[in-house]
Amino acid sequence: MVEDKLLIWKFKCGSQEALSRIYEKYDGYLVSLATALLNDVHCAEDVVHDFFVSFAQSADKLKVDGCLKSYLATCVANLARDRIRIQQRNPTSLDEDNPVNLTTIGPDLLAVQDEELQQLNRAMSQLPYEQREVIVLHLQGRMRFTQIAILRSVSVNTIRSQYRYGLNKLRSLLNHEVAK
Amino acid sequence: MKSLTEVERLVKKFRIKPTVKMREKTLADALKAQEEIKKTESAVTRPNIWRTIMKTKLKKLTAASIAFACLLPLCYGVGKFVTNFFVVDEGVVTFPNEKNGGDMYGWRVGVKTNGPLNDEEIAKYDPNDPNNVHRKEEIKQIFKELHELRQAGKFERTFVKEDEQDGIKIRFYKDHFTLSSGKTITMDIQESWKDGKLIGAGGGWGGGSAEN
Repeated sequence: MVEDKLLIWKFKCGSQEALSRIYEKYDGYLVSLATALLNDVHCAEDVVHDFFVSFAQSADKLKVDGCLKSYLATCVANLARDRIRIQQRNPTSLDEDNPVNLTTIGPDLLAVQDEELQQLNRAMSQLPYEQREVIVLHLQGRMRFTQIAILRSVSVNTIRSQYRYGLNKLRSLLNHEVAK
Repeated sequence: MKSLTEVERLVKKFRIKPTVKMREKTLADALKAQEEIKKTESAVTRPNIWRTIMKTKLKKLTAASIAFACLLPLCYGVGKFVTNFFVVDEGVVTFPNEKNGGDMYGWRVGVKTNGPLNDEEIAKYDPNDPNNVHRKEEIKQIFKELHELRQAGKFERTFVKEDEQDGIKIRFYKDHFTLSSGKTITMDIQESWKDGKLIGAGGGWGGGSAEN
């Protein structure tokens, strides 16, 4: 936390070293988050790339009141949501019927080698985006329900419901896959 | 059958390792963007010296004092070169604009002194100067009369315009004097007002004219 504060301060002063350190510290986390949200590793990488470029350009406007990690997660989630909207408007690029096949991505792309995690990814892709986002931001992004509620401009109870429904659905999908 | 806790644990475990190529490209692009924005900012938002100076009253006064201290000897220096100078109004010395000729009297405001023109100053007037067509006695008479008219308040004032800068209102007037010889002389006057109080005034011809 103290390191993050120092990094933000240095970054705002124009330090390239600070930007590099922020990137190295959180790139894996942000790519995982974006992948879980978008269900597409390449798209997630694009989102993280775009985010870091705009982040580097906005040093003077940057206002991080809380945790840097949550701030980064929020930004990436917003960009991921924008990307989903673009995909929905442009059905030719929509790939909902073919959720990402982790095995085709290649070993260097993924730390996921576990069959269990591949099942999880397939199940996640079948969840409605709102539920998936709440689950990912809460469990992976370590964001509180209140923070997600502020991000999504909805009530905390809505977020809790979406989390509960999403998790139940995820469990049933995973159990169904195991039964197959 | 998986429990909800197991599903949560599984989601938490989900991690993607970005490719080396992607990492290098993103970092390089971000650093490049940061560098570019720094260059742009330094060019666009270079602080204006006047903005810096004018931020506080103290700085304003300091800047004004320095400017005044620098200009004062310069003005006196100019006075040494210009041999013809007259006091037309209390505290204001004007120099004949030697480039003006014919029936036109051209004057410009010079340095401030205390009191009207004295004989010594008049003596510096050189009637033989080929660039100046006015005679010593005539000039002397004009300025004496002007001074008296102003003191007596015998002149017509016309309001020209009003500007405002940093809360100070600057009013521009034209004062019209009619001399005993029938000549009319117009003088440009500036008055500075702040919070309803007169804080400064000055005037001169500044290329003004005297007409028959």
